[in-house]
Amino acid sequence: MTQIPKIGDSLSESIMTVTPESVYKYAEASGDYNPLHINEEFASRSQYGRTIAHGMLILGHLSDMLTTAFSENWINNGRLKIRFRSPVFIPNKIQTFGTITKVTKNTDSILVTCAVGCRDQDNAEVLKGDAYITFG
Amino acid sequence: MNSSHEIGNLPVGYKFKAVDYTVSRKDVDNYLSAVGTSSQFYSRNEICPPTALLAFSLRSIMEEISLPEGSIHVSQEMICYETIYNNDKVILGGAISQSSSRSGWRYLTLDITVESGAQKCSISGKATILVPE
Repeated sequence: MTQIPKIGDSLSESIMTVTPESVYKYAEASGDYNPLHINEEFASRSQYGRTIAHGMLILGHLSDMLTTAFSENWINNGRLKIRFRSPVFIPNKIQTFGTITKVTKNTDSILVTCAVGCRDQDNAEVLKGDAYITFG
Repeated sequence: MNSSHEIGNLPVGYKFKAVDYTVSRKDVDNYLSAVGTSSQFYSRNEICPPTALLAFSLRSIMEEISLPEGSIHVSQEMICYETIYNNDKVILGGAISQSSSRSGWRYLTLDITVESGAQKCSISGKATILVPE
């Protein structure tokens, strides 16, 4: 979807499998070794009772959906505001979603607003927010 | 290095040490592998994902301070101004922009910046993290 989308258009959803291995890989890539993510024993004593994925790992997957949909428009002119609404337990399958909610025509550009988020395998919204992409 | 005990006491306006970073293809590949990116967009175009740069910025902050075990990332904002490519030189920066205490948690907001060599802001972000007190 590199052309300007219309209100109601949906972005192509994508699925990510979250495993202990992918979470550890993310810890290595990001330097975030918070034991809540990688230490079962520590996590069992937390309010979650088990390990959870890094929020930024899930956000990275969401951003991928936006890159697929808007390519350079996303990485040059994108804005994102999200909340991590509930923990992503490991293992899990995460599905992204996105729907165009507003298209604003300005003098020399068009601002597209997109409601975005991710659901886990139990259909709980684990991440939700809005993305804004400027065209032109 | 400040201890994890001290992070909640860092004042609003505290700036973390800016870090010069050359975007490494290996770091980007490791990031893409962890996230499970199926698109070839980034690797084909030698582009660093903006969320990877946010993660690398947070990593540089975590090298200066360590968050207490059990800290939780609750929200994130990001603005992209320009594309950053593999081998680009950037400056990763961060500052504490808000700090408050509620119900046994310290609410910290970290402002994150990625600047290109021309001191132009390429990516900015705002992370809100709950730190147990």
